[in-house]
Amino acid sequence: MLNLISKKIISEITNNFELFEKYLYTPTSIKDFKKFLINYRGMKVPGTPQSYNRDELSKQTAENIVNFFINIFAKEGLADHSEEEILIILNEVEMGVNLSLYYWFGLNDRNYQFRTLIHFFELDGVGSVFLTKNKHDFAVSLSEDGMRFGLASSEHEPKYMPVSKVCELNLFTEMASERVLFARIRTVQREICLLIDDWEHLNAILAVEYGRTFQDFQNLRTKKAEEDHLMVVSKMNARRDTLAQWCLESFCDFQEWIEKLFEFRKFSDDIYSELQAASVVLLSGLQKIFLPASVSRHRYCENVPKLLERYALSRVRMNKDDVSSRLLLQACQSALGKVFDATLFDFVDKKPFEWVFSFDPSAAIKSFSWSYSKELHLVLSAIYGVCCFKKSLPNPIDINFLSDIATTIQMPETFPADSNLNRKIYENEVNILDEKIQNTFKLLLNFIDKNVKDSKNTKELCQFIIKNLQPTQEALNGSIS
Amino acid sequence: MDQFHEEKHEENMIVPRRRAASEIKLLRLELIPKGKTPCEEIGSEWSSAQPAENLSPSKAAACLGIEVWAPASVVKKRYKTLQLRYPSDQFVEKHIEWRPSADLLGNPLSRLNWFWQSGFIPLPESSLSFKENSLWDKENAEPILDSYIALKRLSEL
Repeated sequence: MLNLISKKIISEITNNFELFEKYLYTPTSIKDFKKFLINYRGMKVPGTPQSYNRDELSKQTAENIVNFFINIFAKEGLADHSEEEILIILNEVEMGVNLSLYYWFGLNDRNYQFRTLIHFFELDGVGSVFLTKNKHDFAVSLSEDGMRFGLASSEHEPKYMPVSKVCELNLFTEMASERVLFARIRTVQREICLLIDDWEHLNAILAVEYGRTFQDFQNLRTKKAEEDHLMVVSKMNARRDTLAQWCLESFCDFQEWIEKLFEFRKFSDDIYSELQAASVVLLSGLQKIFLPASVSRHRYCENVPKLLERYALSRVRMNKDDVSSRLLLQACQSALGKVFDATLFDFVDKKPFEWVFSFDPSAAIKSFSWSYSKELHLVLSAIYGVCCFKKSLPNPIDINFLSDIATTIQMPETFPADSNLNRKIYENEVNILDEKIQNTFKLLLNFIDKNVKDSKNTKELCQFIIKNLQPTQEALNGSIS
Repeated sequence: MDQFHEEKHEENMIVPRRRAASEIKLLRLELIPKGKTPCEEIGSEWSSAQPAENLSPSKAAACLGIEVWAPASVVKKRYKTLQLRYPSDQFVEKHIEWRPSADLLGNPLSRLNWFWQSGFIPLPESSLSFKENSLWDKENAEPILDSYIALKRLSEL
């Protein structure tokens, strides 16, 4: 799968891993590091006291790490290849090395990671050019988010290989003993948990940094504070896209693996319940990926709905009567400009026990609501709303569901103006006067009329939903008369 | 190089999530939709579930004399054996606090849920030594992935 030279380079790094790890452990020879580590929270620590000892060691460590890779590149004859090939190889090696760093932590302390070393020695951005070919400079550099190999001019975010690539997912056979199967499934469960943990950790760091500069800007109102804040915002947005893609690539692989296992149908109940649990924990991880979009109104780049589509397709294959997965799929496909699947309306007519509602799809509908037409969003929200009501029947709907329906409908207008003018917004055509759509709206309005417990809170929510659906009803009446 | 603390993994096979993450948990609340609790149940975004189990999986397992990751059927069997040892009228009283733990361990979903809500990460049992004649042993667990293994597997892709 990987380029042959990339493989050789990675294998050489593996052979010399002990030396590399020794460099990662250099901070432990400094007395202050212990104190640093206790207070370290994954972020730059301003005002770490300078000392001659630390500065010397800092320079030395950067040099050691950079040279470690440069020497291996030289040994494997990287320079003999064309520039295009070199870029491909460097990219693959970078992804591999960074995945390896994802797994690395020192002294049995999860706080001691590669970024700890970068922050302790203040090495962010340090690097060096190691090869010049036809006026193209190739460099190795260090950053808080990982190693960077490539053109010296590109300050790209460090790229990571998906976690699933090292989980040996394809090693599985149907004939494996039950014990081996357990171990396999649990490894995947654990990897999902660890990945979600990392996602939360890295997002928390972004949120804290955002909060800090935002407060500075609010208090000081200076040009510099504003610039600092904007820089943090743009880095945060870029990081969210990269991280979401990285996590989703693994999630898709895991999902397709789980799908494949479910097809075997020969396992014991124990295995099935483990698999089921793995599938559910994966789904919970997926819900976390929506949060930057559905709560913080981040507009994800186009690759994110593409990956989510892949995930949703696999879930739909597993159960085609799962409305949640179908709505997720439709939201992603609409965000990619694909046509609306009218079979979604079938669920509106079906009895509630004929389909399942395996998770709350509102976050998915909210996340991409900015990227397609208002009418389409209203249709998706209405189907979602009807399904919520149908599952609650004959009881009145829970207020949390009701507020979810209302906030979902409201979502597109809550996204702030887009600073990126190149972003694509699709004008997905739906005829709001279509009979099926009007039936869905009518059904929802009917439910709101009959299946909501009266209270001050619910009244406001209901009025909001009605206000959004009614105009289309009036348009219909107008067209008839 | 390990001149200071060499923290040992807890006997209960779980390590707290990164300290940084749990310290800034409060800030993370911001990221959770209004009206929803951070203690969501896995698989649903809106649940108001609180951690139902006060017992850690390791303690629950110790009560039953099994390992944390035993399969559901093993937990049920073990529970049944225990039940048979006591007259039925005494059992409820004696093991009332064990009851939820059997469910916690036996049902993979509740077990993962416990981890999910507690902020701990499940570790493989292979990092521990095993009792003899145990129902569960290291054959059933894969070693934890580390950076060296990751690199090695990548070079063999």
